[in-house]
Amino acid sequence: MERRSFFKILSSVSAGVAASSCSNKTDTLIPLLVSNTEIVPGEEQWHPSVCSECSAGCGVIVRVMEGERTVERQGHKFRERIAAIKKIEGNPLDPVSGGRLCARGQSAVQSLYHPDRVTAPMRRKGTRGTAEFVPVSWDEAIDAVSRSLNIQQSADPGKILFLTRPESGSRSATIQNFLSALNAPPPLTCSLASFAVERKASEVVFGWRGVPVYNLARARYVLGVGADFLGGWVSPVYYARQFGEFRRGRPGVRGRFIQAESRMSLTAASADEWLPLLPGSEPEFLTAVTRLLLDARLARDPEQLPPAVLNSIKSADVASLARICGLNVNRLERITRDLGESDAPLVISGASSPNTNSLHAVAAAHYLNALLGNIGRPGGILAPNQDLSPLPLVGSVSEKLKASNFLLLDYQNPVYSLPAAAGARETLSQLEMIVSFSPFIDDSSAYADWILPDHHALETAQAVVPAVAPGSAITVGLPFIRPLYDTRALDQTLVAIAHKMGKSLEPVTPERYVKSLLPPDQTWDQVACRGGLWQEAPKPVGNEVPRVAEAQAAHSEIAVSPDLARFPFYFQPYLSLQFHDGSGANLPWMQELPDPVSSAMWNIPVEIDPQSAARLDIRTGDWVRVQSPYSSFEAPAYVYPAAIPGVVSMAIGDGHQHYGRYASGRGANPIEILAPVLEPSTGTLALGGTRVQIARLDRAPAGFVQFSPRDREQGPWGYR
Amino acid sequence: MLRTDPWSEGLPKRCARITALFLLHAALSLAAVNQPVQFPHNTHMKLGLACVDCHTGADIRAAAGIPSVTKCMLCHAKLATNKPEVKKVIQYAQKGEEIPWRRVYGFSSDAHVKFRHAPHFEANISCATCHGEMSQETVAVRSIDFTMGTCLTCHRQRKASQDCAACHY
Amino acid sequence: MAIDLDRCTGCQACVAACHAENNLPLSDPESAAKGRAFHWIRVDRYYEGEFPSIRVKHMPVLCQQCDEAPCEPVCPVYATYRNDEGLNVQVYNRCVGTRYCANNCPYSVRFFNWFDPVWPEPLPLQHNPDVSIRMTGVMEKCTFCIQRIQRAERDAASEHRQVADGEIQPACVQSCPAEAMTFGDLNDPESKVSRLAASGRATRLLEELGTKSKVFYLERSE
Repeated sequence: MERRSFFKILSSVSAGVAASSCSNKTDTLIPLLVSNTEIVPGEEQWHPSVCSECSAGCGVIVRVMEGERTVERQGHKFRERIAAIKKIEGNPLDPVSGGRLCARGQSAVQSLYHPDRVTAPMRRKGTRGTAEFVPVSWDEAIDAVSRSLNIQQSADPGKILFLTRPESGSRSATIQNFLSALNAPPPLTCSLASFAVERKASEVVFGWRGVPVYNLARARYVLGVGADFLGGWVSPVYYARQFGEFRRGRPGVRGRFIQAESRMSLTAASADEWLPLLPGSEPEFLTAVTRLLLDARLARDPEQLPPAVLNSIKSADVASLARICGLNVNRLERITRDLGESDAPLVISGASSPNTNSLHAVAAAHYLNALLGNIGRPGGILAPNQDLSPLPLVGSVSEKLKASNFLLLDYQNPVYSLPAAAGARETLSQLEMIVSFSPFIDDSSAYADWILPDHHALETAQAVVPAVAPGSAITVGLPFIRPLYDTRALDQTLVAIAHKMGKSLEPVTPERYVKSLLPPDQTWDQVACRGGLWQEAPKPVGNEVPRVAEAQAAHSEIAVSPDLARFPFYFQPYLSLQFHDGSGANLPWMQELPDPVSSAMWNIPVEIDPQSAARLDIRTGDWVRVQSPYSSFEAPAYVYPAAIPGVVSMAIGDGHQHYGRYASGRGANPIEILAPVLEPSTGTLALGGTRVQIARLDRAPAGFVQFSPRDREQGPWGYR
Repeated sequence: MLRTDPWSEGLPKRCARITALFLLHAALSLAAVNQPVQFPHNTHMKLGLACVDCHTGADIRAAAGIPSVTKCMLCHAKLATNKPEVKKVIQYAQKGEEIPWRRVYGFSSDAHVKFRHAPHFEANISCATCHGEMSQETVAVRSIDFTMGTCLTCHRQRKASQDCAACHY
Repeated sequence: MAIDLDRCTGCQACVAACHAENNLPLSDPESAAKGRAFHWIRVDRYYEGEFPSIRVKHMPVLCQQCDEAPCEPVCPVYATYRNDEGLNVQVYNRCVGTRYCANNCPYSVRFFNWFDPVWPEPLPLQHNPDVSIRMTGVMEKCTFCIQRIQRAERDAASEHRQVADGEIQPACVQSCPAEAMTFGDLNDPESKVSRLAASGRATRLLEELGTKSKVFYLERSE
């Protein structure tokens, strides 16, 4: 949608929000909450909101038109016309989404209208894990939960564990207030998409809080290392927009892009050149490049680095480092020269598949950027959108789970996102009490004693701090449709529980959250109308460049299970664009979206390279068993011509035992077989820390469906 | 989802659908539809109300709206409150319910027609062309029967688009 | 339409946008296995070379809206034809389901409704009322979001102005984060899409078949 027409539409969206603040064209005033009688067939309304599918926090606009549903009243079924959400697009005013949106974000409407949503509070009926529940009233549920929480709180508040999304905003502020009112420890997250390593590296090296912003659009030569930033990384829409600009947005300038990664990801596929790194060799690669840069006297700012770092780089032996990466020195030299000679070079690094040495890798990339004079420079690496409230911590969730008595789950699924060896299932069956706020019965909610379902994000009021944004940004969404079911917003539920326990708790509303940050020339009404508060980054005082500190990385070598003869393959589960940390698997559009790598639908395959596949007699579609020292699973194989020999990858997403009709019992969960190895500085699960063996199963190839079949990939257009 | 093979099921189903379409059509044209309130169009039009006063949007939007009970009550809170049909309206208003009007005109979803009122209004086609002289009618019935032929005749005369995709998509 | 393959990242935002806009039937594993899943736009991938110097290319493929469309002459009931605006139109009311058109389409972008689509409640609340729900026995394909084209043309007409270049955006074009897709009037030599189509990078898919397709791909060149 064009900006012009969006302003036109906004004018009609004014509301409990004052009309004058939005625009002057206010011929039709529609209250913020659309009542059903105000829906005119064939006419659309657009309302600003915020996407909650991942922590990128994209601003969206939502198309509302008439919809019909069947309702039962007094024994009679009839069709009711209501205001319904039809489509979600990016908010053109939002600097993160810029009017665009990824596939997952557009599918948020399917989680709103998902046929398997929890429609009312529920109490467990069967044994834990069987997902048998009976609906109860809100009063009964709140009564029971607050009573037992009270008992736990007076006994030992330290044993209350709250797991929530890795997101900062009004919602997480309410959760933190709730926990501090109870003297309970702050919330943790077990999401695989917390990007804790990236945050930690930026904190250690620059003293920044949050994920740094890479100004890709203004760079001319980009070296990506380990960050699948066009795929399932921190902010896919923001970086894809930047990428378009980088490539063809500037007359006469086409940015050149080299990606070094242990997988041919979407990002590597978009690169001009892909450097296939062996898993976990990112620190070695970056050290080699840095050393070559220093040797070629192309470093612009060598004094930036702490002497200890500089010395260790100078003592590095490029030839042996290149051997560890599986690359040839001449190639490294060429790339270093191009990088160093470019007038706007940039190194983008991250840990899409965290290894035990990932902190070291990201820190090494920061040093390289510092040498290139990139810190805080347009086309370089910029300070993050400062988090206003502390993010939930990551730290070794499985230990904390075992040490706690009372578990509260907010869209978190430890059973799914912890390896089987961490024993989450056993721990959850033994906990005293589990309360889930999830609107879906997922693998972990199946263990809950009580489910107090939250509204869908589009039905609730929230302010979200986007993980990555140019300047300072808060995205705001206020409800404009009536909740579909007997659900309650999480902050409401928490306030009710706190009051029952005799504690005082004020929910942090988006208005309260934003008000303290409002610049003098803006009002809350304007923020609500636009869908966010976006400001230029504060100008650094003087010519202050952040200090570059040494990262004390514990391991520079990747730790994996040692038995190389029995388990010859590196195994790397990764976050895909459609399923992300696995939470997108319940959406039918995401299940039938052909996987960008394999074109697989409704089933995620294991990606294996052609050489190894030939040796093991595996063809695409064959079923294979993937066995780690801890556990195994079975899945179809996809022979991926671009896989690194000896490296087996798989997207996270399938293998839910419970997660609605479209995900339950479908495929395998790659996390399940991982070694419970953590990245030491953050406690993030090291996705790349496990080796596996693979064997073909004697089973008829079935269940593997590709949308674009194989013959379309190879050779010309023979396929019909 | 149990599904048998397509054409064994599809063809009879389509026939059934076509029959249903005819029946719907017949039902609509016979429609002295049993409306919850016997609304006299003629009385209101004699008072000088225009169609778009109540059926808002017919001039500028896709659909001609059906007035909400609140709109009725703008006048009937005070006027003619003792008439039996008006009393019904008041009852709905007091219960906070909308009047469950039955639809008189419309296209079945199988016709795949995307009709918009506004362009027709802009082309100065009177409401009566398709809906009859409502100033003479009481309760709305489907007095004009239109088929694709009716649409096309008019489109030809007025040199409007005759492309299928102008209406069917 | 022009699609810049140098900008395209293969993220498939366009695919999801198309589903949301056009009420595409949901598939299930069984129907998908029979090749009956619907994607009016898809992202094809090509591999060039062998590891380690392999390159993967992504290419969004949708109905190419050919001027000499192979699907049109084989339809016995004129359910698919080229209209005055140059769109290759599919009329559901006319289609009798011979599937000849899908057979004759070299781009494999036509999809047949073997069954009435099924959406469990309350998913139908999401349906776009501007687009028909297709029934058993008819063929469907990308329409270039004709409902959006019509809406923009009507809005322009009622405001007594021309449709501006770039005003009409099909759902896929609207959603594309990398802005790889451009939609506009190829008859207007000044439009952005015409300029892109005339640039040296533009090629058409299976040009040798003489379909005179109206989707131009801008090659990924260095």
